[in-house]
Amino acid sequence: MQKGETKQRKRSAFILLGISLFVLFVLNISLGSVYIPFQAVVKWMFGFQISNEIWENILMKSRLPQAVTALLAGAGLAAGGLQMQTLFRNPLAGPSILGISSGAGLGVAIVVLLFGAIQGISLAGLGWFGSLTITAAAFLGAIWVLFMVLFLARKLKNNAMLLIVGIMVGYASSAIVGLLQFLSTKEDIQSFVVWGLGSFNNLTWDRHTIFIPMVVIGLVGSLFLIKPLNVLLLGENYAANLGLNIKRSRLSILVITGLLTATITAFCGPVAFLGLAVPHLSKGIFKTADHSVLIPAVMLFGGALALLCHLIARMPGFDGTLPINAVTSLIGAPIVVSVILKRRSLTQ
Amino acid sequence: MIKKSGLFILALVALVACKQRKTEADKGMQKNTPIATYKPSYANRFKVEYFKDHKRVEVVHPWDSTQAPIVSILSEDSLFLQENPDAIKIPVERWVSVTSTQISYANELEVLQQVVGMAEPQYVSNPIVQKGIREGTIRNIGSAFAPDAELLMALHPDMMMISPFKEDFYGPVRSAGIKIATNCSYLENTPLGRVEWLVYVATFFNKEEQAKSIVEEIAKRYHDVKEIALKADSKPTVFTGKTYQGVWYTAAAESYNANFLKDANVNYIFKDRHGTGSLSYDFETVYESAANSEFWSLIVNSPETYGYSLLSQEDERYADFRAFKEKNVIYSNSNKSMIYEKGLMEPDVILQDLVQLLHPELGLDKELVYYQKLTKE
Repeated sequence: MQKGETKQRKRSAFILLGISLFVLFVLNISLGSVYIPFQAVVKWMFGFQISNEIWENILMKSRLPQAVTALLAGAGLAAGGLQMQTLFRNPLAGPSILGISSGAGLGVAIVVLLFGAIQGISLAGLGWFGSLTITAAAFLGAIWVLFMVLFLARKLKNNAMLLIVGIMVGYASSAIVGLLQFLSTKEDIQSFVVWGLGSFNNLTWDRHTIFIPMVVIGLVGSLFLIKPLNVLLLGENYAANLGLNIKRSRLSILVITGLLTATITAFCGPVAFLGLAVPHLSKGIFKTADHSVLIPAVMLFGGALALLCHLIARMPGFDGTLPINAVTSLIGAPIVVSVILKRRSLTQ
Repeated sequence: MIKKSGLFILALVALVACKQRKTEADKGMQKNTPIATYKPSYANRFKVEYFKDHKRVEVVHPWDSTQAPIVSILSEDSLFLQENPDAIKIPVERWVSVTSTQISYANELEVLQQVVGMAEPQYVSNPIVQKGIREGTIRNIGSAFAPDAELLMALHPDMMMISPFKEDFYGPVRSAGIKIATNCSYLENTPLGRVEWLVYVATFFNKEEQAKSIVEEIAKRYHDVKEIALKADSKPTVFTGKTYQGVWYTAAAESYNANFLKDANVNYIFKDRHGTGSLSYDFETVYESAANSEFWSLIVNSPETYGYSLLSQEDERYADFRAFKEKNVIYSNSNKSMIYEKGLMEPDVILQDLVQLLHPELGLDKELVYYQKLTKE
């Protein structure tokens, strides 16, 4: 009886999440700084021609790719965050904990700041070459750190050690970034700061031909990790007794999270908070530690929350866009605090 | 910790004391009325007053015009200099520059030989400065906002010309006894306003007359081009800039770049968005307003020859603009055109380029210098 009830609850929670995701996605496409009547949006969504070519271009080439970016980035970061929290048995872990986003930041800093200092060219004006270089540099930086972490993971048996190494890599990268900033011009520092604020509106369709497959591979890969993640919850020794190849599971979790974080950070900048907050929110709603529920739940929840943040960042009547990190953290922090307080009052 | 904060307070007191002494000295000198005053015709942010034995140069506070202006006292009178140790001895024989803009002014006034130190010389293309750096007659003092104070003391210049930052990075340099002149030319929002700062720089070298006649010549040529532009009977619609990291930066209505467009007699699409800086919009806002504009004016920095395919590779949405489809993009490749360095003192040539490109019906046929029409695929 009890079991059936919770199952029912979970199902309705999933349905609710799915509906909010859909609604938020539609809202993201309908609202923006340019007013487009809702009727026209609906008409366009059902594949009809709309008379206004400008609107059609805005919907197809601007709002849709942005909504897809937010959806995938949110889902990917949340999935990565959950995996890190389980692997390290640490509620404070997130996808950035491995130092991967710091590595991406270092890559960007080297390109943006050093390029300026050596060549006397401000990357801010370099255009196509510049923006692709930034993505490539971020990705290389992230992958480099990922490989280092993987290499160390083979040497270090202890996860806590790995965690500390990740944090140290982060410190070392920020130190180098700080040094580079000190030696750079205002314009270059400005462009680096802008990158660091994160954004979902950088990706056009041709960038998506790289972004979508990479993130989808990461997300599908996460689904294959459900069993090892569940076993890991029992503790590593117990998991090994149950016949789990700890080394291999750990490695595949790191690779999948690394791929997700590296790709998303490279294209959107270091998006804060979602990866840390969404797993907690999902656990609060679903009241389970079972990853076969949590993994799909965090993906849906992450996507929905990212869409909500992106919507707020582009509030209608507002010509510019707020930096996404400001919104994710401002919205996320109170939600997480309230969830934690609620959970505490329940346990008492 | 206590020791450190004690030192800090001491430094602060010293700084405040210095400031007060300066203003008192300033008051004393203001008693006698100036013999002559130079009020610029195009610039808004400085003026020069001439007294019997000194000049008083007043620069409007860069961020807050209600605050006291920044004052420099200049003199060649040795007695006056003895009584006023804060005054700058002119004509300046050794000076330090921090921006390539200042080098452009100095080049015009032929006072580059007096430069002994330069911040961030990698951004300066002037051959005299580059030669000086190579031969060691001009020392690299490091970054503009954290100059090497020891090296500056060793160089012992008569004056160091700075560009204002919101935060004052020059406390240590000042307390080391280096005299600082603040050049706010980049805050002027009109092309001729920036040109007129030449007179400001000239006061330190007693070359005001030369500077004034150069400014007048440039202004006359600029106005001539403006007159020609007024003959056009249509005002084409123009938009500027492109996205960077998802944000479209474009010129506000009263900014330096928008003033060029205004003087070129064109219809800039954001001419009613007031401000003197830059506007940041998202793509769709600009696209909605600019989709049917006739011209697109760009300043790019590209090591290769720029073209339409490069532009659409950057963002495929650019190809939807009418100006792109009709191949009416004009651009200046700052990597080659030196629009920021040399262009500063040639606004008439920049305007000439713009008028010629944006008003083809006028049939102008001069050699284009800063802007070109984008023709390459």
